[in-house]
Amino acid sequence: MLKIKDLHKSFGSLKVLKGIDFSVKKGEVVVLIGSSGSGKSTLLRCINLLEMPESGQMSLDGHSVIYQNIQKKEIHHMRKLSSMVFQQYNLFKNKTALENVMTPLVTVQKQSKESSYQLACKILDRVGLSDKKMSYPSQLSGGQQQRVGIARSIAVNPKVMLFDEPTSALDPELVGEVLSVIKELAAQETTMIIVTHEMRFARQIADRVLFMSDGVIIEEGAPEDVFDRPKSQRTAEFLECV
Amino acid sequence: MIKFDLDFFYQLIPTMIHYLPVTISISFYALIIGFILAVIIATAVEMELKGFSQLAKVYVSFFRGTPLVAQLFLLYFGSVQIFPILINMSAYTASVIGLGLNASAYMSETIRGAISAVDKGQMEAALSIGMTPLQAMSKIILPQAARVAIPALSNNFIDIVKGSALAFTIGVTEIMATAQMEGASAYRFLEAFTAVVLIYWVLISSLSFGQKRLELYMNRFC
Repeated sequence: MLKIKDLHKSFGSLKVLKGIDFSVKKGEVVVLIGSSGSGKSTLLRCINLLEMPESGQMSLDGHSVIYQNIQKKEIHHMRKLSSMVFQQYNLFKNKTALENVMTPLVTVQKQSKESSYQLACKILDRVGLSDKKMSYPSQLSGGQQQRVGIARSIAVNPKVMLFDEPTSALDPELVGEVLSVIKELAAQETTMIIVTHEMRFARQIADRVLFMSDGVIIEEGAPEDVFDRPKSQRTAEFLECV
Repeated sequence: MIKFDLDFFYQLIPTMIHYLPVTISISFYALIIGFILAVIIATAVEMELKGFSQLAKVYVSFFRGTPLVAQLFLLYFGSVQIFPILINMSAYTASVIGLGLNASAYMSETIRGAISAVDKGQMEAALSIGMTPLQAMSKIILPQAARVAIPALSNNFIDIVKGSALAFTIGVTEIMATAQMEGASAYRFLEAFTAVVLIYWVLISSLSFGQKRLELYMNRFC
């Protein structure tokens, strides 16, 4: 359903992604692991087009783009097909939890206020925050904010959900509540690509694990293969360190 | 010793207050014009519209780099030579336009600063859920920038009110002009100008009070 071909991205003279090829099937949960600076987050951001790669192709749900000659319209269209959960939550600070979840429905999908309200309430209920509807982000804990972030991402109704280190900014005791929401999504066959440093979580949730280093995918496979029987020396070294 | 003529002073106050609406309306219209232009300029510069940034820089530099009174004279007395149609422009209109353009330069800088103070993640989040850059600006970034900008914008507004006294130099009868005329006719300048500064002081103090209330309201989400 998602297919990336020969993706290259650099910041100035620094080459961050050096030819990435991979694909994700519908309902699949793919976890990206690798050390900091290996390009995992950049790859996610290239799928959501928050970063513009120099070259390569992407097709998502039947829509294909070639990065070199992408049009503004295509960028906007492709963005609606995926949604991003950020490390720093990035909730809209001027909006309540409910309004945050309603924004994709009302502003982007042009749904009516009432139906958006109903749907947003349902989604907030799914992440266990029905009682925090009217709270502003500043009044919520990190874990609650991230759950609203996930709820907002669900409201986008994307083909693929992207998670950029969703628990890295959280206090240890708040990690669990966020991970269980993500597990819940996985159980409902949501297509997801997750960048994380939580190896235990990665092993539990992933259908497939990709190990990245220096801007290339070194190894990929089922979690038990990658974690227990890594084929590459670099994967083994990385896994020993974490 | 020359005594302060209290009776004359008291009797001046209502005369001046009679012209206060002129001062207030000039300031208010100038604020509206200035604010709208400033938002457009700041948004366009922040969104890096091609060629616009340079143009905006020159615009801001011109209005900040020349005296307001010179701008007003240029607009009211000077520009008629190029645009004969402007001969029909009243001094009142010229004051509003001049003050508005001048204020927009200062306000655009204020708003631009406030926009860049908003966390970059807010724009990314807005784009990531499929909003257009313009939607992101108007629904997410500007409302948050407003909170940061309100104190400085209020100062800009206070500058407009004080700047409106210059309308008197191109012949608008507002409170400054009234003070000048009343003072001259009775040779009582001390009383006249004391009255006028007091009125300005009270007016601007009440604006400051309103500003505080507005800031409290804007801070409700943090």
